[in-house]
Amino acid sequence: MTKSNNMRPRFFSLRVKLLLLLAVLVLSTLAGAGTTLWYVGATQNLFQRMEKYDIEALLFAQELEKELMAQQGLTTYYSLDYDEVWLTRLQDHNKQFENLLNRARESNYLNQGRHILNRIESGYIRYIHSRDEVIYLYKNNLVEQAVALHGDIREKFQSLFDLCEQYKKLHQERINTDAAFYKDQARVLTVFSLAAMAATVMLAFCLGYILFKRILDPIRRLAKLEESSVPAVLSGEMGELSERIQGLLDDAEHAHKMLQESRDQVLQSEKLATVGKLAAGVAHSIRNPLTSVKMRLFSLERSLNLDSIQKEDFDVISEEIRHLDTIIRNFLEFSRPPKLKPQLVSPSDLVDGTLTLLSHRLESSGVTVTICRKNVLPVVNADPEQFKEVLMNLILNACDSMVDGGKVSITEDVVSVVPHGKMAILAVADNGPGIPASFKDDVFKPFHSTKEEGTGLGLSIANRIMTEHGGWLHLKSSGPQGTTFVLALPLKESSTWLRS
Amino acid sequence: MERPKVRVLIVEPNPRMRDFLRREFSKLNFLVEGVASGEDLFLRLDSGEKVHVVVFAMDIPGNTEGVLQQQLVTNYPDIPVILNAYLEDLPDSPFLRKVAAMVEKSGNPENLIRMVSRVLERYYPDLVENGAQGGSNV
Repeated sequence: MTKSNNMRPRFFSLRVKLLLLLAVLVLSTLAGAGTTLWYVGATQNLFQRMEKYDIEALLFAQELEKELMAQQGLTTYYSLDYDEVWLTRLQDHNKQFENLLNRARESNYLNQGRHILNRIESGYIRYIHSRDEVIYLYKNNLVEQAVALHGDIREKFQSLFDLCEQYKKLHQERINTDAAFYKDQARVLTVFSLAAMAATVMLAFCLGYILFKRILDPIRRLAKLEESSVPAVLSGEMGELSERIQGLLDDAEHAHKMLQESRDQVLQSEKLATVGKLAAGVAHSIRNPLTSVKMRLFSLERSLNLDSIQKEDFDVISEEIRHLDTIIRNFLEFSRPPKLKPQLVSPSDLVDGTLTLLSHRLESSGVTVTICRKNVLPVVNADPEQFKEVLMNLILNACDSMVDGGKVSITEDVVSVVPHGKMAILAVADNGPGIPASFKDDVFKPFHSTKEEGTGLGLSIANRIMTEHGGWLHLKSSGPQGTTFVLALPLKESSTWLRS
Repeated sequence: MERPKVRVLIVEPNPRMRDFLRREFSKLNFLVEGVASGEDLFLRLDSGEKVHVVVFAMDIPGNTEGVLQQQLVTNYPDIPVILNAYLEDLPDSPFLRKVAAMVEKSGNPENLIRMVSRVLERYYPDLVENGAQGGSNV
């Protein structure tokens, strides 16, 4: 699995990239939406203005033309039948024209339009003046003069009509201009929308690529535990996630190994327990009659008068029975280990106590013991008697191996051992001949012994006692220069009891 | 007037060890009886005839976790009990404090004989003193 120190640095972290992409995407969307809103507003204004001014001006122009045509027609009607009704209606149309002209002036917003309307107004005044004169002539039966003047006012009417058409054309041009402006705006907006759409698609593609390639794909591979297929370059959050998951996997693997080891230990313990029960049953059955035999021998010894050979035979029998008794005692101890009675004690004190107990035996064996101690070891949570039994076993084994005497050194130290924490370490070394190579792997197995009269249980019991204390007993080295065993006990703050 | 003899009850599963102890204690002018089970033990104690001391082997059948020994010291507090046991068989029980003495079961019977004599001296000084003057080896 790729570790963080193998990753090449990246200019932007994954988080920054995602934030930048999201920000640009949001800005792009907002810009598109804002532009659309602006366009809708502008278009609305454009149409409102067209409706309010230009289209209304067109309508006014048309109405003015109609009114002019009506007035011209009514004047002609009067010239035909001299009916006063036409004159009355002519007055109404006259007022209507003036009213329309005023409203057109109010709605006008162009200088050119105002100029045209002024011309229409002045032309209309001249027109009605001439028209009233024509009507007067007709009323007074001056027909020839009236007809001549009537022809003149047609030219004035045509001139006014042309002005109205001019006014209409002016606003038609304005409408055409606005329409062209609207088309330009629509074209710009279309181009902008297409560009925004392309940008959004590209940003979404980039975001999707990062999401899939840099997040989802590694997560999928991690989920499938494809250790080899996890990208070699993972930085930032994904790198941390990958490391964390790998850490968890390592922990799980470690826990699995420990569980497997524990299962093996349980199996081994079950086997040993079964053997122990058998041994205990046999030992228990043998021990009682053996005691009876010992008593009878004791009784015989008091009463018999033996010669030297008989005495030797008797002694051998007694010694072999004593050996049998020792074997049985060890069997029973192995099968029924006593409960630990832990207390806070310094291993250094236990070393001193053990050497005091063994002083006579050490002296008789010609073994000298050296203690390498910088400081008294900190306290541990241990059963003093059980721990002393372990020490005694190691030292007595050393004494047995060194037939003509020798040296034993006990080195004390405190060492941090992962994951156990601080441990009190005792190294018990002798300068004996060492353990035969073929026995090295089996020294802690029960019923394995290099001694002719050994039961092969001493080191097995010692190992078990150390394990029960949360520590261990380890054969560090053994050769012609001697043998070194290492005992480790967790210090008080890190002490863990496996079982008691 | 003839003084009563010391009556020792030996509780031991092995008949040959019972016979051996009977023989050894008889040398001291003790009346020795032997039983091989807890049932026989309590039948004998309930029979009404005085027992001065009980030598109790912990490996007697049915004495799991020292239950027979607990019944013995609880129900017959006036009778001193001497435990004759292998050290590995001794339970971690408060009832151990109620016995008169404990002797490790070994091939040497003299320790047990010596302890029985001491217990008798402690519990029955008149009886043992008379017995000693009357030819007892205690």
